[in-house]
Amino acid sequence: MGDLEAAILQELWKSPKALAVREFHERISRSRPIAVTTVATILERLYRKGVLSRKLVNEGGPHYLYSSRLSKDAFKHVVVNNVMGALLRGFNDVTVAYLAERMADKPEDHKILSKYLNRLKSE
Amino acid sequence: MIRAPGVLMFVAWVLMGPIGIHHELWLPALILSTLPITALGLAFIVKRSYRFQSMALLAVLGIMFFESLQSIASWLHIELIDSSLVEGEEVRHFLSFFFTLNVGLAAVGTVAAVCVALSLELRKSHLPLAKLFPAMNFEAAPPEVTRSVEKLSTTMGVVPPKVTLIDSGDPAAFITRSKREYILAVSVGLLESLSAKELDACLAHELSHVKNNDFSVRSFATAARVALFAHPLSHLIEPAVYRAREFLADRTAADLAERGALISALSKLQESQNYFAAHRSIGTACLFGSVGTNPLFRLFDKHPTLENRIRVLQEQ
Repeated sequence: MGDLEAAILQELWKSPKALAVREFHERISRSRPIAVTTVATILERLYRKGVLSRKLVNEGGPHYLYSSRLSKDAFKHVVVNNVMGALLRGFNDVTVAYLAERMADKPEDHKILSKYLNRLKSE
Repeated sequence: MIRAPGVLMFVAWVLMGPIGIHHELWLPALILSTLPITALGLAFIVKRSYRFQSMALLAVLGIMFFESLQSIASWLHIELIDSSLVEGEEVRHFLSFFFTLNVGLAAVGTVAAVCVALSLELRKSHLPLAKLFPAMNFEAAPPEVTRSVEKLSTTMGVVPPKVTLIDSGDPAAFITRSKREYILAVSVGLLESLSAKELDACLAHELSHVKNNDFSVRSFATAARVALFAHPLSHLIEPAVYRAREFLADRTAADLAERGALISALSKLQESQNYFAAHRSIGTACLFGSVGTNPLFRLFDKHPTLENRIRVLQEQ
């Protein structure tokens, strides 16, 4: 996921309501120069990936109102699950060894890793 | 500054000029073959007349077609039949008949290919929009956009096309023929991204394709490329015709709507394009190279780059 996609999601999680392209553009362009066409295209991509849902509204000219399909925590879970799942499927030994090495100094992580490995064994 | 069409023109001149020398009527053939090229060169040098350029390119394609058939016939007769290698009057008659038949068949085959290409284009224009673009969803167009299109069409003197809304956040607009009528499609993303003036300029660009008869011109260019598929130049001239018509549509739109608004709309699209080009993954760039920026690949593009369109509009 690119940084602009992440920024868009952050804005969406911060907002209590669904947002339109121009609202996203107004908020994001405060911190970086960005064309409204770029924001529109990124939103379309996130929608196609299934991350966002949208509703076509006709008041004040046709426009979409975008909302997130997942909460911030649920989204993190999905991302980590996808990334780790792919790594474990493709490079099982290397990934497990890497995780074990990185987590060697953290007892609290041992428990999580053991739990995950046990679940893998049972599958 | 040497432009791609200028290089194309020079190559065409070099290749086509000597062909005329093999003909019995070499002088008229030479004049005929170099006339549109010279005119084309003048069009580039004297003034940016994209209408003239595209018509001259079409003429070049037509003459190339004529030249190809003539060259085959001449070569066969001069090199084979009339040479001392072939002995006997009957054998010569037979070969003459055989080669004439072959050239005739080639001509018939080429004409048939052109007819098939044109009929496919015609058939395509009879298909409903949903079949032409199966991946897209279309909605009823908003009344304000329909009103703008009607107003612009009246000013341009064209029959107002049907207007439809593409259910997509990607900023896009196009005009096409479906069920024997023109349909102008604009995406929700475009309406969200452009101001009213910028949108009018984009609509004017699309309507200019109708006003300038671009559908017919492009169909002839495609048919000629099909007929001359073995000639490498035809694969360069067809996209050059398309590009010239895009520049012409920009000019027509700029004369009608606000030039600044069209430049502003194209600049917004270019900014977006640049963003995605810059954020393309390194792996992808290494695998496929920067196709969009390579001048050689651009010769085959039917659309000029946004950068070039903006530059030309700013220079006019």
